[in-house]
Amino acid sequence: MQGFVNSANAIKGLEFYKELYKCCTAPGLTNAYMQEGLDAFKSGQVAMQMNWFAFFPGLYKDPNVGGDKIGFFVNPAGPNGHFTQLGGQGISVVATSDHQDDALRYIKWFAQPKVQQKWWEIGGYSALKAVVDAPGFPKSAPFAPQFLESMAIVKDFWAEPSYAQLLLDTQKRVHDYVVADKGTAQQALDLLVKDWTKVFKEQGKQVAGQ
Amino acid sequence: MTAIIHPDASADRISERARFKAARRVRGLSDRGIAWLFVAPTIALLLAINIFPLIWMIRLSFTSLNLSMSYLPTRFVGLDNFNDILTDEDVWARLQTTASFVVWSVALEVLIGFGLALLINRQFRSHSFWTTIILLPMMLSPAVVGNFWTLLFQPQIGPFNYVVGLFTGIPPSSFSMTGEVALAPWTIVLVDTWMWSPYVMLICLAGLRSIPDYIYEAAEVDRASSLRQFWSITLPMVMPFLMLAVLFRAIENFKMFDMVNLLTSGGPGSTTELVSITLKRDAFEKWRTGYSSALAIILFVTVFGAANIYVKVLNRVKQR
Repeated sequence: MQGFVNSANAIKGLEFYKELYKCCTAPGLTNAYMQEGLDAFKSGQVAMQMNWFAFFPGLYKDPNVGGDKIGFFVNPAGPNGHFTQLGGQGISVVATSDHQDDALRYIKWFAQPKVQQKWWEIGGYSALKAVVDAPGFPKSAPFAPQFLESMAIVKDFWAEPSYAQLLLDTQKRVHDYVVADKGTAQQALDLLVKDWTKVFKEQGKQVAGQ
Repeated sequence: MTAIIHPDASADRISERARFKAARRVRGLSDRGIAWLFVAPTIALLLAINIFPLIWMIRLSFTSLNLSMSYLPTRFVGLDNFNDILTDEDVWARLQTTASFVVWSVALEVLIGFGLALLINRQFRSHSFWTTIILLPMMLSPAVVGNFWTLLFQPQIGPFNYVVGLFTGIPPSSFSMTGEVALAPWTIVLVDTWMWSPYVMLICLAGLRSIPDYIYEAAEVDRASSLRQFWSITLPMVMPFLMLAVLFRAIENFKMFDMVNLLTSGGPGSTTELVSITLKRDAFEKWRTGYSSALAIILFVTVFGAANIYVKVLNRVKQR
């Protein structure tokens, strides 16, 4: 964690993120989430926004900004690679559950190609090769080509039981630096490493270099 | 001769005897017994919903319990949680934010509330109407107040920014009352003052109405000016009421959560993150039950200690 989360490139990335925030965020959107982003886009306050694919069918149908007025694009490449983040959380089987077999049976059923195909058709998002590699897939939705491209550059997320705590700490440190102008990017990420170390230690995990 | 007793009559007599016995049993209770009988349900309720959770919380504050990691064994950690809190710079920063909010909001509420009380205390036409209008904000729920002020402060469609723009020429959508570091702390003070100044006014009004007229009449005879009457009669006699208002408002604002959470969620960054918001995040977002129990105890002791000192000072002022 030390030297990775607060690496020189991560610091540069965070500084760039702050520049983006300062130049191009609609006024008042200091604590905005999905809905506020959609509102800013639909009301014409911003020309571009980053959001989950799940909202794209609704945006495409919107009479004011949808149809031929809207376009979809993949995250642009950075200086050290081209990645995108997979939205949502993976399905997990709880280690302490009494119904692990049922959960595993459900996952097996859900992962079947025909179920995944149906899932995509009714508005869900499937990353199963059998679905996305099908010849008709790129034309199955206006944003399907971008979805396909994104899935190819997905960077995996941490499957950690303390996911929510880690995210809350990140949000706090990044928000303090980006929005409230507290300290530097280096300090924000150093503090984040400290916060995360505490979380992992509470979990009883060994943290390298600590 | 055989006397025949009607079955119904015998039943009546039996039930009468039972009633008499029951009455004698109740009469047999001492005054203290009856008092306990009435108070017992309340005490049981208090024990169940106040005392027991408090004791349980004290117990939890010495443990490592984290509800999001219930698979880990709960360890006794002694004073570690308290030590972590008291050495955490972030917690001290949140306490400073809370102190600043309490001082500014209570000071403004006392000034405005007392001023309004002085105005309302004079008898004038439509006096009752204006009293009701002034009291309206405090009758609203903090959740409602938080939500509608959020809309009023909205940079694009909020009327607040338009009014400011009208008087200052600043473009309405160029600033955000809840989203800017310099403005957000004042925004929560402003909304709290708007909502609770009427409450301080009510307490001050009670104080003003308790001053007997003959004292002012005597001052008039002595040719005391209005200012002199205010400094020598009104202010000293209203002082205990003012101090009471300060006590109530300070305690309330120290644990302020709902309105600020709705207005700014503690943001931007952690600029308006009051300690109660930190507590809620630790307890119900991060699920650090042991740690947040310790924080709750520290806050409780702080408020309880400060309120006790204050009440002693208040009693001294009253005795003067």
